[in-house]
Amino acid sequence: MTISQVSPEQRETNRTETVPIIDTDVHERFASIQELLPYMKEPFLSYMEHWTGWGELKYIHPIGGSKLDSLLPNGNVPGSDLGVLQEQLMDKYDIHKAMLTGLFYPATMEAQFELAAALASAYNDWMVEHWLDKDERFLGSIHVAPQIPELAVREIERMADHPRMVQVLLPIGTAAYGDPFYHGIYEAAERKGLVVAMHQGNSVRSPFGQPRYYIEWHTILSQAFMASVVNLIVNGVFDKYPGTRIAMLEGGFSWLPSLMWRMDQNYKSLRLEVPWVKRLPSEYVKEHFRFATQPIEDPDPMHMLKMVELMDSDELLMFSTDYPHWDFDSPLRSLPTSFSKELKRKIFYENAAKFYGLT
Amino acid sequence: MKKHIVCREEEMNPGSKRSVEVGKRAFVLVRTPDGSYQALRDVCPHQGARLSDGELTGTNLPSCVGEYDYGRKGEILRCPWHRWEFDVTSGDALVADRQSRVKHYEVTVEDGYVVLHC
Ligand code: FES
Repeated sequence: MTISQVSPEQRETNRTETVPIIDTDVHERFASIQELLPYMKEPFLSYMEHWTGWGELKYIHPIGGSKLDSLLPNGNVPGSDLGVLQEQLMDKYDIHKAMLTGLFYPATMEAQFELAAALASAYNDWMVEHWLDKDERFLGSIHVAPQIPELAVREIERMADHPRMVQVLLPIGTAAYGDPFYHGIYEAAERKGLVVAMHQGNSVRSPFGQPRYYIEWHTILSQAFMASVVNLIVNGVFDKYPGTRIAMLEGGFSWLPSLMWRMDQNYKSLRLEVPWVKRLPSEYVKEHFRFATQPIEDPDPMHMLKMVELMDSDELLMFSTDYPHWDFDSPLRSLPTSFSKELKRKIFYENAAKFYGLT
Repeated sequence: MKKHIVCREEEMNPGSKRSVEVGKRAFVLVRTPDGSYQALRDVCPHQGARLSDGELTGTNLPSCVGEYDYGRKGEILRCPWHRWEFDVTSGDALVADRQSRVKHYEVTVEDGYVVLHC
């Protein structure tokens, strides 16, 4: 039988009257994830207090992502209340300047890059209006969508003239930012006198893919920073744009001495493969990179002091708290007791002031 | 050690905690689910957070690979910052470290009053 033999009315009538229907795909939903809780037990019931779905961060946080005393009474996300942030961080610890780094990174979107660029722009405008313009102690980061470098450059040019924008922010995730594809971003940052800050992004993976546990993921994050340091140097970013300054945020630093040794060792044998790299890689590190301290490890304090000695410079570290996250480092208690007053002064203030050109 | 009356016994439910100040010293007072009272100094030995801002909770006990055995409900005080876990009955951290003991104080109930010895 062909369809044309039956009128539209007949078709409707015939179908329901004569044949019961089996629908093999209907979507029932719960109104809220809370409805599942009566069916769950510990330990995962406690995980559900930190439920945000599985998004870019592939884990439900086992202990919650924020320090508990930063939780807001209205249930809004910690860090979203200017007054509370001023009180709990800026005033309490007498912070002279704070670099705002956000946690909204369209730069890690894996599709719809024009939308990513629009979101980054919107975020920049929002951040200037609601944060930078509200407190002179804040310094800003320009968010961009490096997935389309030309749009990123345009955004840098649009935002760079704000007197308190100090850096371009690129989240470290899966992109190798030393690749020539991204070089326009360094050219623009250099031309505008901006630092390029690289902050841990939630899409970081291990060499084996997505780690099965959060503790595994959080421990191996520094691998992405190590890979980025090497990647930027061998791809000649600093040879093409010698004014480039890179701030590595939330990636640790205790791995740096061995990385510098290994790069230098390889350079002696393999230099000819990347002849545009004209000095020992460790020299590029000392000149072009700075590393934020948080999350600082806490081994024997004397071992930590040795680690700084092994870096062969006391100018590479800059203090950071990571407020309001669970692994926040307190300005009062996180730097090792073995650090001298002078070293602490450099880490708390002078190294960053010099690197960012602040007074 | 002096005795300080904190509150009446019925003012604290089992499984609850509160911060207590005696002079300049701060304590966190806990009533465990079995009804006993415990007190710890209210300063985390790691980076100095106020433990009373943390969570009174249970934890996953050491178990076989891939299994979870949740226990000690209401006897573990978890720091609000880096979430180190402290046994409220002793002040010991569950993961020992050179800075992982919180001073533990005796608490008694006398004539219906909760009394902190500190
Ligand atoms: S301050 Fe308590 S765990 Fe770090």
